[in-house]
Amino acid sequence: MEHHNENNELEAIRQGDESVFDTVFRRYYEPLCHYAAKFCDGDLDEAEDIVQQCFVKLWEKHAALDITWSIKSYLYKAVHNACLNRIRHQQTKNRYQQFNAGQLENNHSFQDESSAELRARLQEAMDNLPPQCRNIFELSRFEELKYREIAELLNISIKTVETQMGKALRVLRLQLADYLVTFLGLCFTMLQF
Amino acid sequence: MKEGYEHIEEIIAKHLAGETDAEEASMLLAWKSESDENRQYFEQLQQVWDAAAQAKPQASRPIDTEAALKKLKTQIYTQTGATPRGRTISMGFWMRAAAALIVVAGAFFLLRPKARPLEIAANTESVLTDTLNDGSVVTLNRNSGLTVASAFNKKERRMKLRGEAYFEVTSNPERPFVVEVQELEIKVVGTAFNVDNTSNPDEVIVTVTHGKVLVHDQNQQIMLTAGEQAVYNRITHTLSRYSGAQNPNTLAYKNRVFQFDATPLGKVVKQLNTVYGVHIKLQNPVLENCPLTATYNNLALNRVLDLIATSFSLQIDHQPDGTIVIIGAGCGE
Repeated sequence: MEHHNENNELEAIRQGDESVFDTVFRRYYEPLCHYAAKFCDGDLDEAEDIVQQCFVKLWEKHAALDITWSIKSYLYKAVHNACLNRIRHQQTKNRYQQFNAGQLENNHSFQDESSAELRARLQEAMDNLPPQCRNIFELSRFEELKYREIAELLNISIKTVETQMGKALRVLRLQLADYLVTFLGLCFTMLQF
Repeated sequence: MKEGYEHIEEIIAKHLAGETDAEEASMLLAWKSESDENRQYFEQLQQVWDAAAQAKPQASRPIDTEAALKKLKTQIYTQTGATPRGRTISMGFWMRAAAALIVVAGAFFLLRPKARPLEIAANTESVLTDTLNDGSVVTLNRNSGLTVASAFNKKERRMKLRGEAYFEVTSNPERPFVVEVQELEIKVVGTAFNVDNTSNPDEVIVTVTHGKVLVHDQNQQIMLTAGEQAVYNRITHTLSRYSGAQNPNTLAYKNRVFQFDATPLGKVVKQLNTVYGVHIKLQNPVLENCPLTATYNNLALNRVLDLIATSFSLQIDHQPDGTIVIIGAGCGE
């Protein structure tokens, strides 16, 4: 399990330590861009722009940083808010709703047919999750945010995160029930070699 | 089921996301071992979790983090230097950019904080394992802390310990690994050892599992080899070697391996309370002396309690406040 001493990093950035800032940038830049891209119809140029501006802001106000939990959740929240602002500006809120409804199929590049099929099935199953439930599950599974970080990001209780995560697993299992015994089992044997 | 959980999936999800605490982990283990059905259900959810990683949207092109960082730095530097005041001499853009760069770079250099020592601390709830930047691994027991010198790994690898910790030290004969605890110093090159200043605040107990360790205060020193123990008494300032049979459960907080050899149940309960962070009570004082002979290899607490209950025909009662009471009239048969 990764372990960075985030409290120390936070303090170092407050003190203006540039090398720590670089380390944090290198660690979170790429995942944050992928996260932002979800709000920009997969447009990575725009996503990179948004994330860079968030880092510029982080550096500009490093001395007065008011971070309650972790740098990671601060950055995700900053990017999340910047994305929502951008959407508001463009008055194309429906794009975000579309994202929440899960219209992302076009962005996938498939390696081969069987994993393509698995992906399609998973995507379909995820699409059937309620929007909030799906968002929470993706933040945990894809972005590897801690429960507490997700709760802070979405302004919900940790209890809600727990409930929704359990629900996501339960629903996904039901959706994939026929796949679980044969296909997934086979897939994972293959992946391990 | 634990209070506040409607569905077992919530605990399984927490487990898969690495969010369970010790109590939830042992509860899940117990649930899994209840039936084959439970175990299979758990495995299916685990498969779903693993497979879900495949559904992560893939980027249309790779992201160049280094290029982005460069671009960002340029922006930060030019923005900071972009507000010249009271200047009448006009400089070309590149001159200004270069001046700004020098000013800002100088400021970074001057304002760079002195390296501060690194603090690692384990809370009341759990044991913490961390890797130091020389690759050595330290396991801190609950409520213990380690302060690593800012010059760590320059000439030597020096740190201050409070509480109890187990060190697995990567070998580096040129940079001795030095642990300070109270007025005692423990110096090693590459080895594994445990330091305990928790069990008795007046004593520091050093246990060596591999290699050689030098333990000293200002006046005396002892070289310990694997299997040996040194006990330092802070009141009498005596340092003594102990090579007899050691408490086999010294490292139980780390690996949850217990060996009991006709150990009185009162003592057993004390050790379980420390390692699992729980509150187990014996209802009847007679039970204190029941002799327990058993080996438990990293079992869930509930399993350990069941085994103890079976060997002395006792009952286990989980109280609403979390206390676990062991009930029985005597040591069975």
